[in-house]
Amino acid sequence: MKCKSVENLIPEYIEGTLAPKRSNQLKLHIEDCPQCQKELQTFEETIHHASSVPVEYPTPEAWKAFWPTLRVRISQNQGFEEDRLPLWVRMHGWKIAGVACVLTLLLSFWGLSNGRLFKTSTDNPPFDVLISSSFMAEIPGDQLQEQLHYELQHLDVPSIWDSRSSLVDEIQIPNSEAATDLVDQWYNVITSEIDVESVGNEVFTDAIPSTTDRIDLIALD
Amino acid sequence: MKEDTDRYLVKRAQCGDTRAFGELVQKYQRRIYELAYNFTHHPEDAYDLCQEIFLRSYKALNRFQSKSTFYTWIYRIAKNACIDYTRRRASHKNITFADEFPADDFLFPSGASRDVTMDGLEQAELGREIRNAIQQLSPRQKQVFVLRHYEGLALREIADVLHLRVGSVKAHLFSATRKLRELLAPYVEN
Repeated sequence: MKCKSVENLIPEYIEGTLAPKRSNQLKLHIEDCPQCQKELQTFEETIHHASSVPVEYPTPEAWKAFWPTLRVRISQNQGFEEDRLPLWVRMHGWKIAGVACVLTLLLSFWGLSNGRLFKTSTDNPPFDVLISSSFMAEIPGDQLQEQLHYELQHLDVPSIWDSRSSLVDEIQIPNSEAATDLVDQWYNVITSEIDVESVGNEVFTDAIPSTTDRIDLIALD
Repeated sequence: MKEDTDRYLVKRAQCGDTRAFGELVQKYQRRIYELAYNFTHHPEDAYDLCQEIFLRSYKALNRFQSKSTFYTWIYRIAKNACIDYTRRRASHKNITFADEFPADDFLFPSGASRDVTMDGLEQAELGREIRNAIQQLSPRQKQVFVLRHYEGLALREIADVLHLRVGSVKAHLFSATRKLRELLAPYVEN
C-alpha cells in the first residue's frame, strides 16, 4: 500500500467506515510508516481542534436583552395577542363549557320530571280530585264563601249543616250513589277551605228564610 | 419533574401566555445558542439565529403534542434553522454580517475583549483560524461536519436530517476533514 493511498483513506479510517480488510491493511502500513503515523496524528488533531472551538457567548447584558427582544418580535408577529380572551378562559375554556353543558342537561331533566330529578311520579291523584283542586284554585276563598252563603239562603232546610248526609239528602240527583260520592267530594273540598262551623253559627242563624228553591251544585262548576 | 414543568409551561404558552414561553426561552437559550454558534461561529449571527429559532418554535408551538420533551422538539427546529442558515449564507457569500447589521458593541464587545475568556493569545488566534477554516467549507460540508463532530450525530442520522444518502454524507464529511487539515496545517503541525 502506498503512502498517498493511505493519506486519502485516513479520514475514513478515523471515522471507522472502512471495510475491515482495508482497515487492517491501513493499520499495518501506518505502524511501519512514520510519515503516515504523523499524517494520522495531524488529521486527529485537526478534527479535535475543529470540533472544539470555544463558544463566544454574548455579554450578560445581551442575555438579559434576549427575551425582551424576542417578546417584542413575538408581539409584532401576533398583533392580535392583546385582544385575546383572558388566560383563565383560554386555559379552562373547554372545562367550563363542559360543566355548563352538564348543568344545563341536569336542569332540563329536573324540569321535565317536575322537580324530581330522574324520578317519575307513581302516585297520580284521581281525576276528580284534580278537577276539584283546579276549581278551588280558580275561585278565591271569599268568593266561595259568598257563593256558599247565597246558595244556603235559598235552601229550605235550616239544619243543612248538621251533617253532610243531610246535604246529600237535599240534593235531588236521580242516581243517589253518584250524588253521595259527588257531595262527599264537594264537602271535603269545602270543609278543607272554610270553617263550616263558624259559618253556620254566624251567618246561618237568622239568614235562612223558608224557601223552596233547590240548589243545583252543578251550577257551581 | 423537569419535564412536567416544561409541559406545564408549554401548555400555558400554547394558550397564549408569553411569560410561560419566556421561562422556557430563558431555560434553553444558552443550549440553543451553543448549537447556533457551532453552525455560525459568529456570536452576532448565533444570537440572531437563536432568536429566529425561538420565534419559529413559538409560531409552531400549537403543533407540539408532548410526544417528546420540549428540548428534543426545539432542538429539531434549531437544527433545521441552522441548516437553513448555512444555505442562506451560501447564497449571500459576499455579504458579511457586519455589512448587513452593524455590530452592537453593547451586546458584543468587538476586538480583543471578545477573546479575553480564552487562555491566551495563541489559543485565541488558533480559535480564529479554525473558525475561518470552517467558514471556508461548503454549506454541505459545514452542515455534515458540525452535525458529526459538534452534535455527535451518527452518519445515518445526518443522512436523515439532511435528506441525503449515507454515501453522500461520508463524501462530504471526508472532504471537509481533508480541507480543514489543509487549511489548519500550519497551526496543527506545530
